[in-house]
Amino acid sequence: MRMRVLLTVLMVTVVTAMMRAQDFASRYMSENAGDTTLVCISVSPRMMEEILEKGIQEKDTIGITEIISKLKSMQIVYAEKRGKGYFEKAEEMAERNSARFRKLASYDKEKDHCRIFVREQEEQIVELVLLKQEGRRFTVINFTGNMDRGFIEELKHTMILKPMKGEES
Amino acid sequence: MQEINFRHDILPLKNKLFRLALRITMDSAEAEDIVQDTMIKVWSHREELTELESVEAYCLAICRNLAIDRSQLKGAQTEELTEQNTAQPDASDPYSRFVQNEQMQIIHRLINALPEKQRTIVQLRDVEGKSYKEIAEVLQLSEEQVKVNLFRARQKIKQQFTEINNYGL
Amino acid sequence: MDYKYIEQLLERYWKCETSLEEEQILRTFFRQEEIPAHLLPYKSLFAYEENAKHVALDDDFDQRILAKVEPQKVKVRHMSLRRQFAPLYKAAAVIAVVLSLSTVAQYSFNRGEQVDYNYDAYKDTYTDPQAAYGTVSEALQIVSESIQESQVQNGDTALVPEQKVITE
Repeated sequence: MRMRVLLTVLMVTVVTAMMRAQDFASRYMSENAGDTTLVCISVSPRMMEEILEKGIQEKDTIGITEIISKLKSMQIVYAEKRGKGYFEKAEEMAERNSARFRKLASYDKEKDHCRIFVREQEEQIVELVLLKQEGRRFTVINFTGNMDRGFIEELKHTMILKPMKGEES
Repeated sequence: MQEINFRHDILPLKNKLFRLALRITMDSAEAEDIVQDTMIKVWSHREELTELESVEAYCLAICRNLAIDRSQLKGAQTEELTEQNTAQPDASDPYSRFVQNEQMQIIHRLINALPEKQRTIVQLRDVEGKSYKEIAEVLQLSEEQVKVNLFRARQKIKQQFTEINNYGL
Repeated sequence: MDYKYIEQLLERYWKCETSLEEEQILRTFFRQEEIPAHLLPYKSLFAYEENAKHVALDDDFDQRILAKVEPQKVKVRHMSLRRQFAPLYKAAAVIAVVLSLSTVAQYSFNRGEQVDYNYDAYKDTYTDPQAAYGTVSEALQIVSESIQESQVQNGDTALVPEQKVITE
């Protein structure tokens, strides 16, 4: 009896290990493999650590170290055209996986649309996905990490609103 | 001869001890270990406790010493305040959940950047509301010395906090 | 309102001449909503001190320390629990296999342990951490702004802020 349990558990482990989780951005890129309009930027856990070690200057935002220390990785996917199509596809992908992703926030403003999804494990947010369409432009911002429940509030209070480069378009 | 009861006399001190250990090590996992070790240490010497006036002061003293030892092992800063200290990352710090805004974040950092003795005294006086007499007992100093250190700490906080706020203007 | 008393207390506070009761008076005073402008800068200090008192260990701590200090009792309890739940472990393993196989098509299934992302597949875009930081910071900015925009449009209920926010 014992052996059977052990073997079952082993098989499960092997199966899950073979399919290590992809974050949203990786998945999206693989579902759109070959599409050269989409660009992907990656910051691996190693680079995230280097940011904490030497990337942040004293003059930078107070408290951002705390925020970044809760992140493991970041990926950005963006396209300069066909934003609507890409956005709808991304939104559909997130909603199709509603067991994994929960919608955290959402707004619509004329031609601009935004959705934020989170993946939670116990009390932590392990993945945050922002989908944005601004007219023709499409953006995915995808963080993984150990973001606890206070993270969202912390984020809001740490990032002071300032004009973004190229915002007026 | 008064009997010391663990659940009644030692366990209730857990949060005070945790806050002190956290203030010194700025690492919540480490702080929790220190609280456990403090309690175990105190409990295994409980015969000696019955001669003491204040079990709490004794526990706080042990806790503080353990916290200092562990901080030094990790190479954490317990020296004078420098420019770098004020930007120290504290990734596993549950305080951040309670720090609601930027101002309080600044205070938090300023206090954590003080040398250990001053930091401990601020914690025991301003957060835990202990008398100078009790603090003197915990730190094995005279009441006058406690006052001097507290004075330095408060002046420093006042001065730096004002500087930061004025600079922001 | 005459703030002279508070101002005097404050002066003495910096000189460490206040008693514990007087310090509590200061903390209570600064808890109010309406603080005159010239005293406002000090509000966060006293508010911080008040809040700092709320930091606490989680509920499991008691169990863990008692297990070490009073080991006898707890050991017995552990044994009987394991015996009780043994048959369920096997069932859980079987269910886990079924579930994992069925979700293989979409995403890999994770059974509640630490999520394990395939970070080895990442190709770092940046070699300079400062440049990487710039982009991360900008991205965080966008997320923060978007959350706030969402709150503006939908009211605070758009988020699930169940964290223990301590208000004054």
